[in-house]
Amino acid sequence: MVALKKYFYSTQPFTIVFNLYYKVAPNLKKIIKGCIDGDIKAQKQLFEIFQKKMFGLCLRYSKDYTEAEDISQDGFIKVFENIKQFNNVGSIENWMKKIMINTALLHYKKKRKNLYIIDDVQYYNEPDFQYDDIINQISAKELLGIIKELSPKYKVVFNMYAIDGYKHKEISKILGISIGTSKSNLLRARSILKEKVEKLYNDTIDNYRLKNVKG
Amino acid sequence: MLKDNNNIDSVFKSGLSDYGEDMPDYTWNYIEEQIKKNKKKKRLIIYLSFAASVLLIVTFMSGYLLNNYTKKSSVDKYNTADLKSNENEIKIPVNNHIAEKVETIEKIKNIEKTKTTEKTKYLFKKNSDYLPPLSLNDNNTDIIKANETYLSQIDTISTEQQIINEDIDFIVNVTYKDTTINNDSILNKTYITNQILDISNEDLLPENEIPDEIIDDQLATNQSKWSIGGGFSPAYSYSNNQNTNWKDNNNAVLGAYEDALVQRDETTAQVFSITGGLIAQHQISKRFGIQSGLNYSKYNDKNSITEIPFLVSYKIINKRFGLYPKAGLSTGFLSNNYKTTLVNNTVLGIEGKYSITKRIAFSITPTFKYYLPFLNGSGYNSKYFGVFSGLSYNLK
Repeated sequence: MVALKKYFYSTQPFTIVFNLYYKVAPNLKKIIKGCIDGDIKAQKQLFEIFQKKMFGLCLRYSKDYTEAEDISQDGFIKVFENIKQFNNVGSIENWMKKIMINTALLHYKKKRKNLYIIDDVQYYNEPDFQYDDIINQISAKELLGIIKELSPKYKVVFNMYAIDGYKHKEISKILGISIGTSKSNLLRARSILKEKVEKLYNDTIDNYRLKNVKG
Repeated sequence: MLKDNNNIDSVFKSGLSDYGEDMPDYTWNYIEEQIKKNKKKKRLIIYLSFAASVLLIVTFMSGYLLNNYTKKSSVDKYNTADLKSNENEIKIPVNNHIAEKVETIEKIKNIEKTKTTEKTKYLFKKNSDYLPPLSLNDNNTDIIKANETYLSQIDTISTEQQIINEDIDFIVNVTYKDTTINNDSILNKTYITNQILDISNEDLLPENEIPDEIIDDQLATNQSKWSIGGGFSPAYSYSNNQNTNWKDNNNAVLGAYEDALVQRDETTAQVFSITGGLIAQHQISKRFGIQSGLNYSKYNDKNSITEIPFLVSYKIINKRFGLYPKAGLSTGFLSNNYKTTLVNNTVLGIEGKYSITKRIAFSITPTFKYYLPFLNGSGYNSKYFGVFSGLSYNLK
C-alpha cells in the first residue's frame, strides 16, 4: 500500500493534483478564513497571491499606471472589508476580479467620465486583417498599451465583453446603457484596435525583416 | 488566416486575460493603513449610535421626571390643609405659573349631589363653555373648593381628563369623609380657570348611570402611560440597485439580498422574511408617545437583522379602536456568518389598536422602512414592508 502510494505520488500529474487539493486549496481557505477574522497577516498573504493579476486587470481598465494603482488599492480594501460575503462557492479570484471591475467602473463614475454616449450609432466596417502569428509577434505589454489608448466608453465595454466574459445584456444593465449601445461601442472598439494592432504588427514585421537583412 | 469579427477579441483575450504586473512596494502599506482607519471609523459609528441612543433615552427620561416633579410641586401648594385653615376666608392658592393664566377666579353654582357613597365619580359633558379647569390631563388634585358647610366632608377631589366620547370630556372624582351626606346636600365648587364654568346638574352623571358604550370607550382610552407589547410580521424587502452591481457582494446588506433572494434579475432582489420583536411605549402627552424595543428579522440561515427602533407615535383616534401613525429611525445590526454591519432605516407605520380589555389590546401595524443611503455610506437603496400583528399590555 505504501509502495503504491509512493508510486502514485512520484508521478507528476498526481503530485500536482495532490498539491492543489491537499496543500494549496486548504492554504487558500486558511488564508481566507484569516482575512474574515481580520488577521492582517492573512490579508497580506492574500494580497501577495493576487496583487499581480489584479493589478494587470486594473491596468486594462485605466488610462495610466497611477489610475490603475488607485483602482487596485480601493479594490483590495473593498475585498478585505467584504470578504465575509465570499461564500466559497465560486473561486476567490473571480470574486476579486468582479470587485476590481466594479471599483474601476465606480472610479469612472466618480470622475464623471462619459462611458455611455457614443459618437454615432452605426456599425463600422472592420478592415480585413491578417492574424497569422500575431499573438507571437506582439507582446502583452504592447496590447495593454493599445487598450489604454482607447477612450473609456470603448475600453470598458471591450474589456468586459472580450476579455472578462460579460454578455451584452449584463454590460447594459451594469453600465445603464442599451444593449445596442453596448454592441455599437464594442464594434467601434474592435475597429480601432484592429487598426492599431495591424499597424503594430506591420511595424514589428518590418523591424524583423530589417534585422534579418542587416544580419 | 482568421477573418471573423471575434479574432481581435481572441488576440487580446489570450494576450491579456492572465496578464499581471507587480504593484509598487508601498501599496500594501497604504492598504493596511486604510483598513485600520476604516475599522476605527466603524467603531466610532457604533459608539456614536449607542451614545445617541443613550442620550435620547436620558433626554426623554429627564423630561418625564422633571415634568412629574413640577406637577408634584404644584399640587403640594394646594393641599387641603390650606383650604381648611381659614374656613371663613377661603384663600385661593396660586403659583406664578397659574397666576398668569387666571382671568376669572371663581364661579359658584349649586350642584345637587345625587349619591352618598364614599367615592363618587362624575362625568362632565363636553362643552366648550366649561372646559376642564387648568390642565386636567395632569391628573392632579384640582382646585375645587366647597363652602364651609361641606368642606370638612370632602376628603379629596381630583380630575382626570379623558376624551371618552364626543359628549363627555372629563371626570371629577370626589371622595367624602362622611358617608352620611344626604341627597339634598349642596356641594359648591370653585374652579380656577381662565374660562367661566357653567356646570349644572344635567351635566353630571353618577357612575352607575354611565352608559355601557361609554364604559367601553373608557376601557379603550383609560391607558396607563407605559405599555409593553410583542408581535411578529411577515415582511417583504426589495432592493433595486441601478448604480451598484450588488452581485459583487461588496456590502453585507447586499450580500444578505444575494444570499436570501427569492427572485432576481441583474439589478433587483426580493426577499421574504419573518420579523418578531418586543416594544415598549411611553405616552409623553395626550397625543404623543415614544416607542422603542428590539426587533429581530430572519432572512435565512445565514442572514439576520437585530434592530432597535426609536419611534414617535401620534393618536388620531383614541377610542376602543385607536389609530396611531408613527415615524422614526431604526438602527440595526445585520449579521451573517462572519460579519456584523450597522444599518440605519427610516420607519413609517400606522398602528390600528383594538382594546380587548382595559389592559390588553390587539394591534395591527403596516410598516414601511427605507434604507438610508446617506447614513450608511452607500449608493444603493432598499425598501421593506411588513404588517406587524401583536398584543400590548398596559402597565399601571
